[in-house]
Amino acid sequence: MRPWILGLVLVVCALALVNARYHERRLFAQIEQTDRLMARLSSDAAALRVQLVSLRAPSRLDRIARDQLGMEPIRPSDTVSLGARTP
Amino acid sequence: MTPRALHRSDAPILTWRATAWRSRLVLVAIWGALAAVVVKAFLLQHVQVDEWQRRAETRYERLRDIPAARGRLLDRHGTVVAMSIPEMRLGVVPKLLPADHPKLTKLAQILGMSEPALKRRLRQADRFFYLSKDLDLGAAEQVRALRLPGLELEQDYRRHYPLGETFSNLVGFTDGSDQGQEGIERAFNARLRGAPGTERVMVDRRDQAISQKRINEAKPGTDVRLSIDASLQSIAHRAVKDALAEHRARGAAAVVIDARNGELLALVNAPSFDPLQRARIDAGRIRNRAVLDSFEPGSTLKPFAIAAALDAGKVKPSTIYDTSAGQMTISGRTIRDSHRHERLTLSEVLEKSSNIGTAQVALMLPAQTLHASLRQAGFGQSAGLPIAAATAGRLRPWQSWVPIDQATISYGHGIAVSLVQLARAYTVFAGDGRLLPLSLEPQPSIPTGERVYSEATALAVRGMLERAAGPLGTAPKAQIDGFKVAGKTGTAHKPERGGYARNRYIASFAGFVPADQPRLIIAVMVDEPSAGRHYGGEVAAPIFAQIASESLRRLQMSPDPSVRVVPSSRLLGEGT
Repeated sequence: MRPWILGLVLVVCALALVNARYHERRLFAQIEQTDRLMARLSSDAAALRVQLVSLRAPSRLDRIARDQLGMEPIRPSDTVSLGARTP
Repeated sequence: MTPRALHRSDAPILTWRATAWRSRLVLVAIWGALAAVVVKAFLLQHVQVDEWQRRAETRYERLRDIPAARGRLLDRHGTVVAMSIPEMRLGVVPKLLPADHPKLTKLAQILGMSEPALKRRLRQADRFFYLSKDLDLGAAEQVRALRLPGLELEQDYRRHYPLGETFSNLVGFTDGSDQGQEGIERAFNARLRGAPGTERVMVDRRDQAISQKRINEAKPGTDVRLSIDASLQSIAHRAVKDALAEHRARGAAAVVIDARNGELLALVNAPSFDPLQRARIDAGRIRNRAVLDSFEPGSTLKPFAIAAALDAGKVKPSTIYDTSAGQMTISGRTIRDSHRHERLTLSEVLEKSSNIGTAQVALMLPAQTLHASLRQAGFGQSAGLPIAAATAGRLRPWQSWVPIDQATISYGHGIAVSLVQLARAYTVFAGDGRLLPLSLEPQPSIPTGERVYSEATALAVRGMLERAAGPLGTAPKAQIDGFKVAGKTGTAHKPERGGYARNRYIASFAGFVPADQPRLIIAVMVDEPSAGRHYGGEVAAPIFAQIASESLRRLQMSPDPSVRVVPSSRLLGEGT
């Protein structure tokens, strides 16, 4: 084989290598970005879950029920017991 | 023209000969330089390869810790009590970030701080410092996009307590390095804590990661499911918080235990603290009084002396005691009842909470027997909770007792207990005479417990406790509609140097509900009520009633319509 062909093949291979390295880094950057996005969304979801628990806290619901809605706990004297009818 | 007549400049060959040494010198220099390059390349590639590899790695490789998330704390129904959320810490190397950088305006906006304040901090600092320790990941992305020199972002986790002060004294908190410092966070630290991982990161000259390799994966901590019921915890917390304000007390605490298996359902303290604001509060609010503090239980201890005597066969529920003198002198010291009673049966001794009657019962027993009985009921030893620094209370060895000690200990003076100890001890009367172990986690099976009294004794004392919480007893205010209540009040002077304080009290109540089929054991303690009332029957019993009534409703237990609160006009007195 002629030396110039070998040289050409060498140059093409070198360019392909450079291109592959470039793509590798670009993909890595995308993966990093996606990982960060995933972490951020997970964090947001966890924060929302915490917020939800805070909003559903029995003490908060109880306060709202009493103060804002004027509700009172059920007392046993308010309870009517019905006997089950046997078939 | 002769050769000699020729000038050198006219003879190129002669000129070349004259300058040939210079060319050779240049050639030798070039070859020498090339040889030096080759030698250096050889040295770099084959001889000093490890050293240069290390230097390259130091410059372009970073070993990064991957923080591990701490496990969640859940209540018995899966409600999140504590969880960690990833956040970022933003550090600055001030020398690398000039204070007049044009992007600082944007950075200040993202961090929510004023630009002059940010610039002032940058000018004043001369070494690395953290600008923010709780940056959410979205804001961190915006900071990263600014590509400012000298900024370093580190991942971290921040602990969140969504149920706030309702759980704060029980759950405790973690420190900056995510280690449990107090309460359950500390007790279960080994399980909650994860193992951080490590990764090797290649960075470019701008310090941007271009590749990474995980060496060790981070292992998140394990979730811990507690036996605590968030609803019951909330009910109990509100009750003690309201009582603290109503009675202008120094502190208050309540413990709720499942009478069937010893699971802790609620443990609350007042005052409590907001976990997010704990840096600015005093240590007294952080204290878990129900577990860490001991107090003289007063008359709540009487059932144990009576049960010991019943179990030893020394007395019967119908045995009569003469307490009409209203006082009794033992070893030169006089003990008194708050109200003068006539002749009382053993049942009435407990119902009326007679100190004299109880002392007479206790003095019928050998000191060793009473001591052993109290010890078996859990007094003077750990309540078995894994919480650090939990008090074991104080029960002096029987060898050091003199008769007056035996008498006063029988009605709860000269002995110190924690509130959880007291609540646990009542499992013997709520059950069949066995002392159940306490648990902070749901139990897969019902523990058998250790027998303290016979079943007959436990049932007999249960009946007496039911009367004590009735209209003729010392705790009519413990009654609730729809359910029978059993329990005992306690009022004790607080000890102070060399004796007891005249006007400082601890009011307590311990009991269970429904009395005929116990489901909840509730113990309440109010420290130094100072709004005019200080008896256990007036201060602690209503808290018990509130917690019991709302908890049973929350547990959807059917009330018995025939059970109604019977009003009582009985005057409550000391020793009750």
